[in-house]
Amino acid sequence: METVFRVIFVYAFVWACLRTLGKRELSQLAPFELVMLLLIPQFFSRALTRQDYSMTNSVVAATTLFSIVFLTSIASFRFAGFRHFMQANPTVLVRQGQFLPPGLRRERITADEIVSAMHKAGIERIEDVAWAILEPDGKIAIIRAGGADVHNVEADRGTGARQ
Amino acid sequence: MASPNPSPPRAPSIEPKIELTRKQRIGIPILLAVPILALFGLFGETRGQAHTTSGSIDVEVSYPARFRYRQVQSLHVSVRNLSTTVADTMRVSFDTAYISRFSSVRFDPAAKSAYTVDLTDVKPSESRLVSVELWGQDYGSHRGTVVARHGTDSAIVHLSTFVFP
Repeated sequence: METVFRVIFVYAFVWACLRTLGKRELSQLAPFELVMLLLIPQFFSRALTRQDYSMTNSVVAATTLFSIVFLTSIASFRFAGFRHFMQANPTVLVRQGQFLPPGLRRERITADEIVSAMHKAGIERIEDVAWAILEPDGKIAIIRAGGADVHNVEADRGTGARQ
Repeated sequence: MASPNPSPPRAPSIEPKIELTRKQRIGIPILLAVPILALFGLFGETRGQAHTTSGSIDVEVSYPARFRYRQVQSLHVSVRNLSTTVADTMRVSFDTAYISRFSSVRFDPAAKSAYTVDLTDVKPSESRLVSVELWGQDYGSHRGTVVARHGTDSAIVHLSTFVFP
């Protein structure tokens, strides 16, 4: 029984931490973010199992996690208010070829990262970008100016332009 | 070149009606059932109590009814001398078939021979406690008995322990 509560607590705690950190941490693999993602399971694994390495405990923990994820997805789909509470809203980073500093600062996204995302979308100049949006999943979507092309850039920023 | 729209394109509103596939309709209730049953203690540790009296012996046993693989639980046997005389030796024997299903078995007081503990000089109305520490090595259902003897009297208590995998 305790395992169920522990999984729920850890799920809520990690969700709250990631929600606090912001969208960029969701899909970043910059060194410090990679370290964070590697360490989190280390911290919680023992708290979850409590030296109980039985298959029963593992099944209870896994099904609890799957159930939470399923119920959360159902509630997010069904109720817009819950969806907005659980997920971050998109942040506009570039509008009609112009960087929007408030959004960039809030999300800690550098101009280099936007340019890198543009390059991955096959766009050379910022003037050719209608919208650059940091989506709730942490990826930057680039919408080309004057056209319908939309590029969802995988959030592996920092591997291109920074070199 | 630049779009005249003041805000990025938004998603249309679609009625949020939940639809599940046939596999999901079967699998999801099963998925949800496990933690719900766990909350009701189905997969947790429970203890059983058993009590019996025979002639001059009163035996009360508290044993693990359910526990998990590689977890430690204790079995307590309380033996009371109901006679009016001092019992030189009261012998408490544990079923080999039962005890052998566990590992790291430790008796307190220590067993003199295989799974048998002798309690000496038990005064009238005095209770003595025998504790056994069990480590769940084999999963499944384990059944056995605890027998307390004094002279010609013997009290038998049946035990049943399920070890979750």
